[in-house]
Amino acid sequence: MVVALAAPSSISFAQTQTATGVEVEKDLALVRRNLRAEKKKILAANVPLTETEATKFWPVYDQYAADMSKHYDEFYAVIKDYAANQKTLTDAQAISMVKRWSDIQVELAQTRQKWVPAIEKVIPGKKAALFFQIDRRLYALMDLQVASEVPLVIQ
Amino acid sequence: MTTKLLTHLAMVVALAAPTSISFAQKETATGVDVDKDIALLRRNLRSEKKKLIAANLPLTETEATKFWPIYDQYAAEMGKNNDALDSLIRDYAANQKTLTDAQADDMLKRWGDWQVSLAQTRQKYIPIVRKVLPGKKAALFFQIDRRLYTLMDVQIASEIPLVIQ
Repeated sequence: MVVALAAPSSISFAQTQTATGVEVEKDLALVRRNLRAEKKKILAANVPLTETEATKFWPVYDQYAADMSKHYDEFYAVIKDYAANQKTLTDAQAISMVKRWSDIQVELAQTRQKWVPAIEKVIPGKKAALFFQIDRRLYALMDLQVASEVPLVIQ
Repeated sequence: MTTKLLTHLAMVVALAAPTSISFAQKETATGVDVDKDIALLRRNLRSEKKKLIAANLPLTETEATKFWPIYDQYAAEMGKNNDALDSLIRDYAANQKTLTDAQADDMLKRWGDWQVSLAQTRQKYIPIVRKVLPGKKAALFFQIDRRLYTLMDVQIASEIPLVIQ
């Protein structure tokens, strides 16, 4: 599993320079497509479910993943805006982006918290804990990937 | 530009440093003992973090005088949140081999609460840091800070043993 969990981090942004910043749209779309598909496969391979549990769990997982994706859509929109304007960013734009990014982080944490009881309704506590542990590990890798690739604010 | 690039490269290398700290877990009858390892990880990360931020966030003397006391308050508040995580990891690791569904459920709830609290603390400090730094410098600070916390998240998430079924 260690190898499988590391896989998404091998995706890399190939940033194209523009007059005002960098173009990351295609790269973000690729990262997201790959990660979404990979994530479900890795979870399926590492959370042992009975047939009955699986029948109940995967539809709930799909709703949870869709909910998380909405917040990540906003997050990527912030990154895209920032990257496109990186060279000409003003103080006001910079702080506005940090605020938007921070709001999304709170929403992501609240969404994850909200889904804990819903997942626990369809699988036992220890399996739910294993699911969230692997899920969190994958999101942490994805966050690190994105955080490392986003260019730093030019002063 | 070259100086900036070199600074960035130095930071990328330096930012990777904390991930080399590894838990040396000792097996017990019911789980693993991670107490000393967590203490070591946090001590190293706290001192590393401040040094890395200082090296990569260009501040005037006036800005620095106002910024660092605020940073210390922010770091202390984030540290309190992380105390809750440490306690959770210790409880989990110590009971990993005998964990019940009810204990797993309780830990999941504590973990969910911790994440929300951590994100809200960061959110609260954005206007406070903005009061003492220009917008772009405040943004750079939170960018570097977040990168360091993300590294710490990956480090911790990767080291905690998976729930045994």
